[in-house]
Formats: sequence, C-alpha cells, structure tokens
Amino acid sequence: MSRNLSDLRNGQEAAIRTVGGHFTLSQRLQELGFTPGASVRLVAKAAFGGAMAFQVRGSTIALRRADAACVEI
Amino acid sequence: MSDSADAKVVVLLGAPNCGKTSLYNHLTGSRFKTVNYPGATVEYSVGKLRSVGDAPQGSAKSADCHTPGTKPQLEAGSVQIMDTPGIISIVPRSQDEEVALSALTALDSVVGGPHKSPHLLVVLLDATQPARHLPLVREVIKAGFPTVVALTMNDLARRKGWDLDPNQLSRLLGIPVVEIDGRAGIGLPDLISSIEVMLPETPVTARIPTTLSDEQIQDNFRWADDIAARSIRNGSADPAKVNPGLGRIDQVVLHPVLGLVIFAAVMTGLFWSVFSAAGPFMDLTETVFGWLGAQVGSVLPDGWLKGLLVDGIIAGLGAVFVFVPQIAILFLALGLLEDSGYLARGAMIVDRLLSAIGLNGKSFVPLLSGAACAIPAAMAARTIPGRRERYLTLLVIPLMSCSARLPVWGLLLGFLVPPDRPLVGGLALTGIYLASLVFASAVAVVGGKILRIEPSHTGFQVELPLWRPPTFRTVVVSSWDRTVSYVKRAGLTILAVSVAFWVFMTFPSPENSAMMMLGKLLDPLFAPMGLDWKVGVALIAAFAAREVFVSALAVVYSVQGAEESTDGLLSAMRNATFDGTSIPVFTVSSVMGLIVFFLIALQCLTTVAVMRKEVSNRFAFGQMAGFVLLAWLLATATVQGLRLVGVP
Repeated sequence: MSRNLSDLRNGQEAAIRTVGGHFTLSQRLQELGFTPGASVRLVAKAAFGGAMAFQVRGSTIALRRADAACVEI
Repeated sequence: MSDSADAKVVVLLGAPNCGKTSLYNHLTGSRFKTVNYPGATVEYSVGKLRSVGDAPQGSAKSADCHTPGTKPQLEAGSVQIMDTPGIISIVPRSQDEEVALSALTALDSVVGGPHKSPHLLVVLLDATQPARHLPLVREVIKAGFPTVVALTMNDLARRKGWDLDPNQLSRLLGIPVVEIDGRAGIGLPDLISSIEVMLPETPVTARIPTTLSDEQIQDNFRWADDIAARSIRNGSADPAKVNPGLGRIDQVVLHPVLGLVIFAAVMTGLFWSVFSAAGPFMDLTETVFGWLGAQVGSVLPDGWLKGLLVDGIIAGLGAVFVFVPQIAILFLALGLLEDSGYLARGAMIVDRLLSAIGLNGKSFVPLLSGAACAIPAAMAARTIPGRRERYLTLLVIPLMSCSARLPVWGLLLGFLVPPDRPLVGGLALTGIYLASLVFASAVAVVGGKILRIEPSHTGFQVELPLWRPPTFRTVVVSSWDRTVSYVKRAGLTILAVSVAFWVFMTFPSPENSAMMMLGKLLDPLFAPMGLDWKVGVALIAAFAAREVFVSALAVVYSVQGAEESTDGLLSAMRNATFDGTSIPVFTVSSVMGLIVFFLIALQCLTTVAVMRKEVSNRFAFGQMAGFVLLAWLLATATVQGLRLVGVP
C-alpha cells in the first residue's frame, strides 16, 4: 500500500520514494528539496485540513495537504 | 546616464529571505525595508557601490577569509549593485522569480546599458540551510557566470548545531566564499575585495537552461548534500539530514487550535491598536493645527489670503494629518509582524480559507499589505505562482481598507461613535476591516466564475523562516520612512486639492460658487445616497486621493462658516443641513452609506496605473468602473434600506 507525506503523523519522519503530481508541482517540490531519498519530518498541521509543515534538509516548509499527497513515502 | 553605462554590474542573487536586501543596503548605503518573509523583494533595485571607506569597518568573524588583507581598490561609483527577488531555482515559476532571472539574461532591457548579462554574481548562501541553497550556486557556476558566494547567517547556523567553513566551501566550489553578516555589515571589506578580484572587464555570455530534468534536480541535491556535509567546521549535525522538530514558539503558533486563536488575536490586535493607541497623538495633532490656524488668523488681516491659508490650506491639511498617528501605528504594527517571521506562518494558517475562495496562502501577505497601500500590495502579488490566483488576488486588493481610507473611517466613525467610548470605536474599526474581508471574499468567488483562466498546478508552498526578535532599528526606521513618504505624497495632493477647492468654493462668490454649480449638476447622483451637493463634490474630489474627502469637507464647511471651524469638522457635520431646510445631511443612514461607498469604490488612480502594468488595460479599467458602480449601488441600497426600517 502506498503512503504519502499527508499520511504522516505529527513528529513522524520518513524517506521520500517518488514525487508525483502535475509536472510543474512535482518539479517545484523537488527544487524545494523534496527529492527521492530525502528524509522528511511532519512538524505541524493547520486546522480544518489546511497546510502541513515539513522539515527537509534542515528547512521548514509548509505545503498544501493536496500537494503533500503527491509525495510518496 | 553615461556613467552608469560604463559601470560594471554586480547582481545579488539567492534564495528568498537569505538577506539580499540587507546586504544591498550595506553595499549601496540605501535603506530599503528588509522583511523576514520569503518574497519580500519583488522588484529589482540598482545602486552604486559606495566607497569602501564608508562601509562599516567591522572585522570579519573569520580572519582567514578569501583574499585576506587585500586593500580594496574599487573606485566608488564604478560598480553598480543590483538587488533581485529571491529565487528557488534557475528555472522561474512566478513573476518575481522571472524578474530576478531577467537580470541575468536580459539586463539591457531591465536597466539599460550595453550588456545582456551582469559582470559578476554574488550568490548568497544561507548557512542555516546549505543543502537546500547550494543547488542554485551550482547552476549559476555551470551557466558560466563569474561568481562570489556570500555566506550569511552562520551565527544562526551555530544555534542549529553547525558552522560552515568558508575556506573549505571555497575549495570545494572553486570560487571565492566570504562570510558576512548582512544585518550588522560584518565582512563587507572582504566581500568587496573578492568582488574586485573576480570582476571581469566585460561580462561573459552565460547560458541559462530553460528547464531542468528531474535527474538534474536530484543530482544537484546529491551534490549539495555532500558539499554541505563536508564544509562543517564545528558541530556534529549534518545540515542535509537534521530535522530537529519545531522550536518552542512554533509549537504554539502552528498548533492547529491555538494557532488559529493566535492568528485571530494578532489580526484583531493589529487593527484595534490602530484606533486605540493613536488617540493621544491625534489629540496633539489636532491641537497643533487648531493653534496654527488661530495664530495665522490673528496675524493676517481679513481677506482672501487669510481665507486661503486658514480655511483652505490649514483646515484641509489639518483634517487629514490628524490621522497620521493612526497610519504610523499601522505601519509600526505591520513592521513588527514582517520582521518577526510571523507572516509565513500566517500564510500557512490561512491557505485553507483562501484556497476555498479561489486565492492562495501566498495571497495573505499581499492582502495584508493592502491594509497599508494597494500599490506595494499589487506588486507583492507577484510571488503568487498561479496566474489565476494572482489575478484574483489583484482583483480584490483594492477592496482591502488601505491607509488612505483611515482618515475617512476616523471622521465617519467619529460621527457615529461618541468620543468617550474608545473601545466601541476600536471595535467599529475592526468591524470595518472585517466587512472589507467579507466583501472581498464574495468578489473573489464571483470573480473566479467570471475570470476565464485555467487553474494552474502550482499549489502552495512557503518556507517558514527562523524566528527573529524584531530589531528596533529595522522596524522603527522603516515605519518612519513609510509614514514620512505617506505625509509627503498625501500632503501634496491634499494641498493642491484644498487650494483648488477653496478657490472654486469662494469664486465667483461663496453664495453662488463654481463648485456649487457643479455639485447641483451632479445632484441626481448623490441624492439617492442621501447626500447633498457639498458632500457630493467632496466625494468627487476623493478620486484624487481618498483622504481628500476629509480635507475637502473641511474646506467646504470652513468656507461656509468660518467661526464654526474652530470646533472641528465633526460639529460642522452635525450642524450641516440641506440648503434652505433644517433636514440634517449627516445621519446614521447616510454615514453608513458613505462607509459602504468607501469600502468598495476604487478611487485611486495610482492603483489603476499599477493594475494596468501588472495585468492589462481591460482588467484595470474594468476593475475601477465595476467597483465604483457597485459602491454607488450598495451605498444607495444601504441608505434607502436603513431609512425603510426607520433608521434616521
């Protein structure tokens, strides 16, 4: 069963397998450091299914939940 | 400019929020506002490198920086420094990133001069996130640019558990790396020396890729992770791998429930403080202008000069400048937010809400700065990557209650709310801001149905910068600068319109003036709003600038009855009646109608000009016509509706 970044629980860390989604989005996510192999930790979730904050390569970056769902772990 | 054509161009490039503007200010002696938000700079700026003797003489933290001890020989003014918006990658994905990239490939079209590319790049590398920012360094070196790396924020990196060695980085990259502190100006002499050493006579022709493949991006990161890990001087943490979790502030601010509460409190506090904290300062300004008017009035003999000075200029300027303290406090509060790092958190929290109405979390900062002025707000919208979301944001920005409306709110709320109830006044002002948000949301939803642009697949991503305690200097200096420029800009317009108003109200005669004829001609427009011709002409004048409404009213009523003007504009409004009757002009319903009108009407020609530039003629004029028409319709509906239910 494939899991993605939006399935992470707060504080959980996982390694990225693939980055999917629309080409523009997938490229920008990778340019931000979300590349296959990178270790990502979920650190915060906004209310009502809002954006989620992840730490990757020492930075903290917020993504919309639907975008995070394009990144498989 | 002949000398700037000869000057060599050095472009500052780097990720968003890595300190380019701080460095630019130090290198050129400018004082552009620096903000702790990724995407604060959306336009390039160019300035001359000031002579090295003027630069702060702080010693570099590492004594063994590249080219140590070389005395800089660059002649002041022979080098131009260019600040650019932050970029994530060499392939641009939003308007602000395109602005930055055009500085690399189409310099001639951006700043003129003979060259397409700059002579040298100074790429800023944020030591707190080297693994993320090194790929850009690799891409510009590959593209063939002569490059110097300025290593910033090493002090903050130490807090995270590592410390990058500029010498080691320099060996690994094969280009000079200089450690600097852009905020304090430390390390600048060494940076300037390196610039001098690397600066070629003529710029190279660089080749910038238009796309990167997934493999290239991933390879860049593998390389960057490796370089970052090998450049650590002290500390055991690997910058490419460490994800330590949230700090204590973020655990509260980004908490799903507490975060929302804090967000609501911060926003309410921001607008509430504008009204409540300004009170004493406003009384002071009012006293000063009252005194000034009385002094001038007692010195000058009766006549047209006295009328022009006292009833025209002093009454007009005073009526608006009473509200300058409110505006200064708004700028100060916004500055505190900007400098702290909260804005990116706010963007994250409201993305859910904003995306529901067709906007984006990245619309938050443009909309918030719309509370100060629509013009920088429209430019800030360049950071929104999707065209559809950007246009919708631009559509509603003029509906944000900008600082030019503050004097209008102050006057109208002053009429509605008794002066001994500042708490109610603060709440009423917060209510006005809330109403503008509700209305803007509705317009965004409707606009989204009308606007025929495909949604783009750009999503929402924002980097959350490290928290910084706001520095007194940055916040106070920048809000002072913004207030002064407001006073200058608004002051000139008000002065001009007040004088013109006084003239047309006084000639041919005060009883039968030119303004009266115009006003009576347009009366059918104002009568449905419950207003007479005097308020009507003030509304027309407000198209020069919204705050002119207040000064124009002041002039109208002080020309009409000079002895009443000392009691202030408010009492003149309470006594104002329709000509030849005892029916009051200003009632609860007509004032509510005016509030609705000012909430919606696009009365700012500069905004129209900026919208033409950011989008198109059709968009800009359509927006203006639409919002003015809508304002008139809804104001009329408000007045007539209130009267129908018995409100005076």
